[in-house]
Amino acid sequence: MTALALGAALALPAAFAYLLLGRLLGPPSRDLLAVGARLAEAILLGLGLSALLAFAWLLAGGRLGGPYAAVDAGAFVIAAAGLARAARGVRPAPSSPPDALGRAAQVALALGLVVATAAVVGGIARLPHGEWDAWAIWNLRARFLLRAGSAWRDAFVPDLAWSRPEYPLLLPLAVARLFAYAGETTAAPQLVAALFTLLAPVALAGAVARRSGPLAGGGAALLLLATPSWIWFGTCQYADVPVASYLLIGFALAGASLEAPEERGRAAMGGLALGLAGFTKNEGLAGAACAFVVWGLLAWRARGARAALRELSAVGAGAALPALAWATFHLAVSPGIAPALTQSQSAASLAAKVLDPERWTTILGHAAGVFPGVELWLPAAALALPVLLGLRPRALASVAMLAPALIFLQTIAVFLVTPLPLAWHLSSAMNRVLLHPWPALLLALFGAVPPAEAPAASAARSAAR
Amino acid sequence: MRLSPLRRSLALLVAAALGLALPAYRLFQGPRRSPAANSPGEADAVLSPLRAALPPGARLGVAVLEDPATSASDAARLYLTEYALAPAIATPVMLRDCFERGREACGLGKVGFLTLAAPEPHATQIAALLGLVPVARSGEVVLLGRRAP
Repeated sequence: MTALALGAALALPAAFAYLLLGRLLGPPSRDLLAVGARLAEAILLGLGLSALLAFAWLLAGGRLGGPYAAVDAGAFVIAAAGLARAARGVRPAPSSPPDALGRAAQVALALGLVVATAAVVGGIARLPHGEWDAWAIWNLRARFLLRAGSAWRDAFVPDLAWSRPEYPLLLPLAVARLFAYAGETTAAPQLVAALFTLLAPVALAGAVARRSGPLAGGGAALLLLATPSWIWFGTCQYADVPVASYLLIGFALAGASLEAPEERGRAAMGGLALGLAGFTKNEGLAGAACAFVVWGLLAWRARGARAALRELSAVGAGAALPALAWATFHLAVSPGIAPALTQSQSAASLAAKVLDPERWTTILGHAAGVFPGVELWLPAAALALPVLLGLRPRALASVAMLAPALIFLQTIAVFLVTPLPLAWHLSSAMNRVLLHPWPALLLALFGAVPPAEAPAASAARSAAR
Repeated sequence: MRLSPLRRSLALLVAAALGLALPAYRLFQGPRRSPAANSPGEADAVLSPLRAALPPGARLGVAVLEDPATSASDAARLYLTEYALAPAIATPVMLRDCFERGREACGLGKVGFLTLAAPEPHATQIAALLGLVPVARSGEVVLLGRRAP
């Protein structure tokens, strides 16, 4: 019964998001990877959209529970039915079948997902409530949202300052909504964690394959699955994998819309994903801001200021709902934003920190030591494999490459001026923060690979010779 | 652009080897966990029976030996109690302060209930010294209140 309820809670918003993506982006091609990636994007975006609906319900005075599940299900069924009527008769775009290596990459990715699923399930079995931050912050808040009824704002009282009440609410809302459907069960946060950990690589594979073919797509996703901190923080039930997942989807969609500015729907869905990253964690908001800046600059360079503003407005329109939720949360529920980091510091103290070479060395050295997968040389593999596949350096001037670079600089800047003890702050946060742009970096590097020729084109060329 | 099948095959082999071997290694690797990582389940099992005795909006003290800001074990005790007994709002109460400086100074005056991990008869004796009575018990933990249920 619990499994059925959890399945319904996930399937309904996912169906709505799938149809919405189809309406705005067109249907995916018949290719298995394209359909899988679209499903992955739909499930993750559906989780975010359903969290926004639950937040609106709470703000309107409602409480999460059985009656809310009925309202939520009804809303998504009606919305999905409306989109399904409009989508009748739309045919998927034709696609050429992948060559033998492309098919082999898809098989390898499928096997990789099976092994990663076993690793995630094993990790969750060892840590059923997640690691420290999961039960002290995210799942604690989800319990409040469910158990406190109309007094849910009690979760944000100053007495609970240690539980970081200023952190945005997407993840607790997503979990509490599953509680409303299935009752309070540890399976709910476990399922959410597993979905983000396992579906983001599929979304990555699809996004890369759209540009560079299934071999590059499979390679990028396999490297993400190979990243130890990806699986680890996923099974910890922390918010970092969800933030990285939404940033990835946002960078992929917004980046693709740069090449096809007439596809406003793609830009809007990219904006939605970036906004959801911001409503998951404040670092996600900073990452989304980096994407907006880079996206605007690239569009400006390509088509001029007026066109860039017009196109940026589509991204902004997509981000509007989660941005509104974030602003309402901070204005009406929990006013502080990163209070530990925004303590006032004198200009002299800030300048001393910024000009301290030892501080730079410590921060950069720590960043190099905890970069995702560095212990297994995965960043080197992430560079070497695209080079092996014929990487085009000019294609690296993309949102997915430049926005993570900006996120990295911003991360260094935050650690440079942090008022917290540097060694403690580095050891407790740097590895998680560096995970946020990692999938997007893989997207940028493997997305800069030229697509392999389709077998039919290759055969035609041979015949012409 | 036409790449040799060898280069493409090599790239696939490396990616597949990494993507399959590393999650598989993780599967058989021992647990990476902090000492408190398994505690939420235990805290839930012990403390959740006490939830029924707590009224909505209850303010709950958690008896600790040291300030949770400086003691990891007392911080864990506070956080785990909050996790298990939410939406009651848990705050730390240092018993030593209660005896040395009085109820108000230790924060006992601000809460309606107190969780105390102590076996009998010590729990009842401490409750009497604090002017509280046992309200409910689960395992080694007793919930103290101002009056009997």
